[in-house]
Amino acid sequence: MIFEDHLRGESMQFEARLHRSRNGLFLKPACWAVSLACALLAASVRAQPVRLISPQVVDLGTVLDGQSIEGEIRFVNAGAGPLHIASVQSSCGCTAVLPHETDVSPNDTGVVGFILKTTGMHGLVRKAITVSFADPGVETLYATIQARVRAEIELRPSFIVFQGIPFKSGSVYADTMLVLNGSGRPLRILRIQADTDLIHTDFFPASIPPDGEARIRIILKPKKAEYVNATLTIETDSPSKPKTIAPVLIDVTE
Amino acid sequence: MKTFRRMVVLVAASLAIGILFNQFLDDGIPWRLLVPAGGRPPRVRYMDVESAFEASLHQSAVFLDVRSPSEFAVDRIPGAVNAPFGAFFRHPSGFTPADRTLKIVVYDFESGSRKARLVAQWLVRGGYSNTAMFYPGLSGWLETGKPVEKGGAP
Repeated sequence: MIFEDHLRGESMQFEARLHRSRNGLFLKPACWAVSLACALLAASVRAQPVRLISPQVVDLGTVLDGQSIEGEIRFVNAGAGPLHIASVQSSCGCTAVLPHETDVSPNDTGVVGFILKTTGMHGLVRKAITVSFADPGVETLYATIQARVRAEIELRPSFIVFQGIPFKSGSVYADTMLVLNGSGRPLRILRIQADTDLIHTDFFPASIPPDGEARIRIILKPKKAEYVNATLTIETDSPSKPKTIAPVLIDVTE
Repeated sequence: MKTFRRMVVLVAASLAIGILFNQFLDDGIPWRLLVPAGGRPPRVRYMDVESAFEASLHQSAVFLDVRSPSEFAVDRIPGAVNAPFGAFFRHPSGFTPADRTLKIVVYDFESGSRKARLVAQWLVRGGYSNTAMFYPGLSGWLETGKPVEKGGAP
């Protein structure tokens, strides 16, 4: 009897252990799954309370060199709590950025205004705008603005390369560059100067009609095997851009 | 004399703090660039859009993009590796292949970027003689309608 009680007791303890173990085995994955789901939910809530409404790259179209473009970056506070903008920065001194309001309530739209000044720029221009928030759990917002700046004077190609040229005494090499007039009025090229005596041009003062082009022949007369980063300065009567610089790489080998 | 000495100490301390602070900034001037390299400028070759496109198409070069990770995530030359300017100079070995004969093409967004040139010059000095600078940059690449790769966490 005592033995049976003992056995019953052992069995009950075993059942209890089994029950605990089974429940444990059953509960553990469930607990893990719930914990993981909670963690993921928490992470997603913390990681994405801000959603950019504006496109990631805000295209401002084509503008003339020197023009200022105004625009806005918009985002929504998709989180549960209010957002406080700690700082707004741009990647360039040419872009002024200012938030309309520094506090954004949940589900409200935040607006950051910007002014891009394009003086001295040409071609496709891109600037980054960064919006940081006071809550360290909120991810920083990155937006990009881009514009195609049409300069009064454009060079094609924008640089000249004489590279991998073997040195031969008395040899002459040449390349061509186009000067395009996008100013909308006749443009006069006054002078073209190189900062090295290795290169010269066959160009003489001339006028380029609106939307016209001038062809410049750049001539290299190497004196020895050398590597020179030279520049060609094109001076015009344009009041806004009197000088345009073209890099010329000279790489003459033995 | 005492005022002068104080002034010198203040200027030196400000300079030291400035240089130190720069090291923690992504776009700060890395200490490696503060030390003059001396000697003749390294031979960095320039690359135009068509040559770069050929190299990208045939995967015959490693493209290093010196922009920030957030800019890199927007778009890049297909297969390019992000080597942010500041991070590159802090840990150059983390962004350079072991094989120094590989063709490396460095680029930034802007045409004729100083950052791309400095990285390319550093690589040539470091023995990566087959390094070129993609002079027109990503802006030139986009303007000629070449394909880009997008996405990726900043």
